[in-house]
Amino acid sequence: MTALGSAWLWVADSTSVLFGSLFALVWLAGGVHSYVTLPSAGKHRFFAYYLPASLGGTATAFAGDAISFYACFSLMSLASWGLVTHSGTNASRQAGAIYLALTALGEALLLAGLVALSSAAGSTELSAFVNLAPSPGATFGAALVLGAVGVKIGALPLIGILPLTYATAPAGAAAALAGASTKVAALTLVRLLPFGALPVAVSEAVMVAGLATTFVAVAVGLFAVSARGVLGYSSASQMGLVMLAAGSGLADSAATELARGAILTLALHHGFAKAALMLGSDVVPGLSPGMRRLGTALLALPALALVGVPLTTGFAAKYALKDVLLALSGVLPETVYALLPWTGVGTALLMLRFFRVLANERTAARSAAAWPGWVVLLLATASAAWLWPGAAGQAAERGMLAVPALVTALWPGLLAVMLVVALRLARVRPPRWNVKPGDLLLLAPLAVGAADAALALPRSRRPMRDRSALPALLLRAERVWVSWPVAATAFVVFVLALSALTAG
Amino acid sequence: MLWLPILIPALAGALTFLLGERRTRRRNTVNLIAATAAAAATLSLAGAAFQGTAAQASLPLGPGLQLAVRGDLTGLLFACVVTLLWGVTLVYAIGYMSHDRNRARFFGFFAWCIAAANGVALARDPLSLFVFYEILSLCTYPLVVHSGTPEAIAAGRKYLLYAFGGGAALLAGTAWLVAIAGPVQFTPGGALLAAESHTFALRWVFALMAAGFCVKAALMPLHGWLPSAMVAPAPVSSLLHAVAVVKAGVFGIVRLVNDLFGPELATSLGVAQPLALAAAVTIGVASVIALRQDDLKRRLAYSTVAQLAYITLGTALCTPLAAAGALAHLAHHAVMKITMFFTVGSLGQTLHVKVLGTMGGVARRMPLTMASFSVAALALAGVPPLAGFASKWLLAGGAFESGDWWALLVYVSGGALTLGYMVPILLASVRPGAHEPAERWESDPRMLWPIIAVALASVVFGVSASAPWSPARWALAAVSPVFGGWTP
Repeated sequence: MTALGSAWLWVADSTSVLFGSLFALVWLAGGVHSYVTLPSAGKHRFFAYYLPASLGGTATAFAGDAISFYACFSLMSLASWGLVTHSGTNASRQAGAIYLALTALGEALLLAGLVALSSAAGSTELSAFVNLAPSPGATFGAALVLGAVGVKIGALPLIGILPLTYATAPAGAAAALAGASTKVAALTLVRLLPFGALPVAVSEAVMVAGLATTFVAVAVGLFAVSARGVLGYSSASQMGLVMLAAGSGLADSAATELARGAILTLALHHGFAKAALMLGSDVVPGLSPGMRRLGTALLALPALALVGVPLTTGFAAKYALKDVLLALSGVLPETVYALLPWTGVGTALLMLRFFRVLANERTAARSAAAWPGWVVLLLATASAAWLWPGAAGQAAERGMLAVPALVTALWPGLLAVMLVVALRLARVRPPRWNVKPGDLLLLAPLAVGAADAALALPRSRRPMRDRSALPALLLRAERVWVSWPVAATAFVVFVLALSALTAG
Repeated sequence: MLWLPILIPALAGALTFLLGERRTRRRNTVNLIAATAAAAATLSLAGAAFQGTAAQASLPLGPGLQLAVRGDLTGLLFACVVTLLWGVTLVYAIGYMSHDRNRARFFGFFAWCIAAANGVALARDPLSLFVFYEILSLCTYPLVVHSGTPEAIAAGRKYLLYAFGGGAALLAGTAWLVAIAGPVQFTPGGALLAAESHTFALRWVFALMAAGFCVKAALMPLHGWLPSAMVAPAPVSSLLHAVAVVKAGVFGIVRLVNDLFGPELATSLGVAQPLALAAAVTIGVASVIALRQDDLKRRLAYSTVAQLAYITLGTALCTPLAAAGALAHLAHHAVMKITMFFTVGSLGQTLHVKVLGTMGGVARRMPLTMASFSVAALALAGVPPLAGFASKWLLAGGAFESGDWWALLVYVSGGALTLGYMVPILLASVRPGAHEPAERWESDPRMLWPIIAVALASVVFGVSASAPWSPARWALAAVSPVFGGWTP
């Protein structure tokens, strides 16, 4: 690898233009929305975090080398902590702590991955990464990057991270996080991974992880209690599809280009649609009853796009994904292909749940100035995948408008509606498990505490907050070994051990 | 010329003692002029070394015994760090100690420590290095016990016993080395080609010398003195316990691996791997302990233990990039950690805030100070484009190149843990608290400006990492001859 050689290299190819436009537009719309809706008290503090985050987030699209990519990525991730904790409530502080811990983990994995990939490629330029030949180093680096992406998008078992942050951040910030920040993960996949040069096992593992994330996130999200929580689980589910697309192109060079195209289309479509839903979920509950109907109807557009209803951008994205799977052969790709329409059923159910929850939410009325950002995102949702023809994939353009394809795309949504109607008619009440956004992650501090307490049982007379077992154990051990006789003995033993080890 | 970086501080120290306690202004002037002169001398030596002329000089002490110095890039990097930061620390210390007693003693020994540290940096052979190393240990003692409290005396005694234990091991190792290999000089890539057949003896020599250096480098479990020595005044903690003394330990390891045994011999003897393992364990354990420290100085002390182990690990990996990263981190960690110790000292002196729990409102009261601290903290965690990132990038790259992928994971998880023990300090400072915004200066300007200066250095060193004069480039140039003229 070149040591610090080509830092600060910027590129403007078609990928960066696509992602750059998505990021810029979403961060801008979220910023405008925040500017007109946030109370003036904490506004400057909010923008002290929002502006660096948006700068870093948008600049990742144009980063051409590992160091500038990592710098922009970290700037966005670290500054976003201020957005998550903006409200200053206990819940937001807890969310911030979990977010920061996962960010630190993700950054560590990403850095290790970047170092490994640039060592394997002998260059820090990202263009060298994607063309890497198969090697253990490349696989190791790619696995680390995939881990970092998994943490960022909340792959199983971390699916709680997206809903947790969306539910606590202000609406404008949540839109930016959902529309732009998570899509940086998609960009990471496209920019860093040597598609087609990885072992089949890695590819299959990523496909399985992606598909599992998609379905589990839907299952959990159906029981979420807030509109933005539902949207968060929907995001986790959609990002699972992005991982699925990436996984299918990692090993087989036949599917490489199709997989990249599918990731781009999915990211573009989901970025705009989710940001539009986020802002809409903040505007609509504050409207007068008449306007509320209009607002809800407008919101249906991005919702239908997510389900993949024909002629929406989501339809193009799903079609591109199917194309990738068709290019592969084997048991797993065929199984995944068969299961794919069912992800549409899941998304449709989630969207129905979203409107149901939203109908019960009330917020303060938003000024008319909150509309433009939202409407711009709606327009972008309607047009994005069609305005970037390359993004939809070439095969998609050819066969997409044939009747069978349209029918295939319609039935998941219809099935979901029929399912809900049938349940209503049969007066079956679904169980009311109220899942707080964050699910398992909220248990993580408890689990750590419980494990600590279990380890600390023999010494349970200590006050509660000293019971954190592992650090306490280290502290106690340390106190012993810095006492004189022990330190002197340790010193002698250290010398002897070092020589004994080396003599072997 | 080569003796100047050692002689100037030594003379300044002597003059400080002669001027005595009363003549504050003259004493400060002498010290500041000496610091400027020493910095100029060291930098011009570095300039000459970059031209490729490594000067040497020696001073006979007795039959077969001489004190010898040489100005190579590795040594001068350390000497420049020590000397340049001496000037900054002097300004800070003059403000910090303005109401203290026994200032002549303090500044005198302080200058002598600098002289000894420069001696360690420039020493040409193991014996000269040992002599300066022991002088450094002795001169630091009065500074640790400066306040004269029972706690300080106890810490001082602990420090002295550790230092002497380490010194004894080092002496034994050096003597044995001379017995089997004759008088050797540090040579990039290794100086022991003639003695390679004595594998058993060489392993022992390495173990003894490494153990001696590891005491000062605070490698676990030999780190006990460092957190205790935090009772010393903040300028001492800043310069000595973050820069000169502990760095003399890791610098010794760098010399031992790169210039005495050489990476090749160290690997083939199998002595580098155990050292690397000990360093990796230290990074993990010290970072986790740091998470639990409420006392700010102790938290920083454990962070220092972990960060020094970064350098030791990098050196012990025996690859060019890791070795360069280790040297670069020696300089980068110096500016980052000195910023933090300055800040903590300033908080203690201005607001009497010494523990995490009482930090509420501090950021409102001392915004510039805490902003500088934040920069240093993020730099230490390896956030690009700050200084810590540049060295971590090299270290991690070197770890990957050596094939020791576990070391790569150690480095990045160390970074995550750094974020874990630094962020609580930042958060505590922005919580609401009793402190009101300051009227004019948030603290003594003589303490404020040095903090801003060193914080800026940790930005500049990172941003300019690929500029030819940056510590990172310097380190790459310095390790080049160690690996047979390797270039990045």
